[in-house]
Amino acid sequence: MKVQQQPAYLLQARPYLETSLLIDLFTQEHGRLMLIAKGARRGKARTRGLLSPFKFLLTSWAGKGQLATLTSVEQDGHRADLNGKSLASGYYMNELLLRLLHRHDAHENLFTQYRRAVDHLSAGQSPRWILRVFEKQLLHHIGFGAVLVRDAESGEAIAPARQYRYIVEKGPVAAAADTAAAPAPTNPPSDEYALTLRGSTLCALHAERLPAAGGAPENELALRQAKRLMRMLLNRQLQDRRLRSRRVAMEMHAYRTHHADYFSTATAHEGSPARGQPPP
Amino acid sequence: MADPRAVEALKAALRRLPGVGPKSAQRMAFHLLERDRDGARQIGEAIVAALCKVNHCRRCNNFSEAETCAICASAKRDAARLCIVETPADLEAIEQAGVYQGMYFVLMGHLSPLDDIGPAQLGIDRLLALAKADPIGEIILATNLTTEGQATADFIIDLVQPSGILVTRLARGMPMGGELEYMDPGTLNQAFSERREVESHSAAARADN
Ligand SMILES: [Zn+2]
Repeated sequence: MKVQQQPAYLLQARPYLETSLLIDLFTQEHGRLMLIAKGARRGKARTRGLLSPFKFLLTSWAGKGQLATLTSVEQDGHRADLNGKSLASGYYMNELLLRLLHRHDAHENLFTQYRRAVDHLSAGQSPRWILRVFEKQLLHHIGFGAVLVRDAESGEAIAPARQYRYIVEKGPVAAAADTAAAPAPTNPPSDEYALTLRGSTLCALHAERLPAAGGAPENELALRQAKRLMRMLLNRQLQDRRLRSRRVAMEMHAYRTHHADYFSTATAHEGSPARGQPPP
Repeated sequence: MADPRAVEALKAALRRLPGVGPKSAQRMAFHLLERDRDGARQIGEAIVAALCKVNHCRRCNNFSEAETCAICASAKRDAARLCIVETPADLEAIEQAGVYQGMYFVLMGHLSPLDDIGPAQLGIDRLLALAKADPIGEIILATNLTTEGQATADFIIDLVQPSGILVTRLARGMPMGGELEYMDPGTLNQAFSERREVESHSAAARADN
């Protein structure tokens, strides 16, 4: 098989033999696949700099069987690289794709969504909502999309002002009528299989737009609830195996917090943040 | 006929080397046992000796037989400069180039979220303690220009900037012998954004003297 100029992003690259790389690509028409990039680790190889994550690439490959060989790679256009927080978000998306997509399953629309998310992150937009939309799309494309439009029991349309109990295997079910008018609790009870959220959060995720009309507090509520909903649904698919990118991001955050006044104190801090300690 | 157990164990041990698959491991094992038994003994003894003797320098984290390595112990080095590199091979490359006379800190890797490698594994605590205790005037970040290398540099910058120590990064741009036509957009982009004023010939000549 020979494929020419296929749009792709590199998800992960590992050293292979003396001078080559084994690369995991997310391609537009062929989904996720693994290729050998021969000689890509040699000093002057031009491909070396290109074979890094978050660059929009045009890739060509040839070969039969499971493992084909990369024959050329070019970068299409140039955007600012991801850095700092946006980089952590990028790695998180890549790990989700590596864990949840099967090789050779085409996901053209998801590719477009991923590309959009990377572009927005590199433009410096806040990752909080970008990641939620990406997670929603990913779940949808692997066949486990969130139920966001109708009450899973009554079949009625989701009412933005109502409280719902979202149950993992089922979807949102309107909470008892007397709690509907009550203000949304800041930290509603939840567990592994269900959580309480406002209809407006479900509507925002469905429309992929924050409820701007509600202003900042409303958006903040939607952001927090959407994060917890997506995490609950994703954990189900990840079978509770922890995400490495998430643990490393938390460790980095703990370091930044722990060492914030490191140089202004007279003596060195005792100890260091424990591995994987969650940010405060 | 199945291989004897010791041969199997040798093949399994060789496969722990990066880039060595079952085929190469078998080839190496048979070569050592059949054609080069002296070489095999040498390899075995060298590995055991290195394991016993070589540890990390307590100051710069590089491999060292002594508690403090030769560079850290040298009085000729400029202790006011600290260059941060990812690996001992990177340190070696800079030493070979011969332009730098300061000290080093070797991270022994880079931040790699997909491989579960965070700051704790890179000895960042020791690096910070060093920056605090020693009279350092400049920290030079010489991590690789890969996504991970740059993420590592960004992270270290965040942590050491409050110290007030001057933080610099190696210049990025066109490599020696590079031709514009074949440059990737990222490199070209950086070469443009980090272009610098041309020194006049007379000034350059004066600086050489
Ligand atoms: Zn040393």
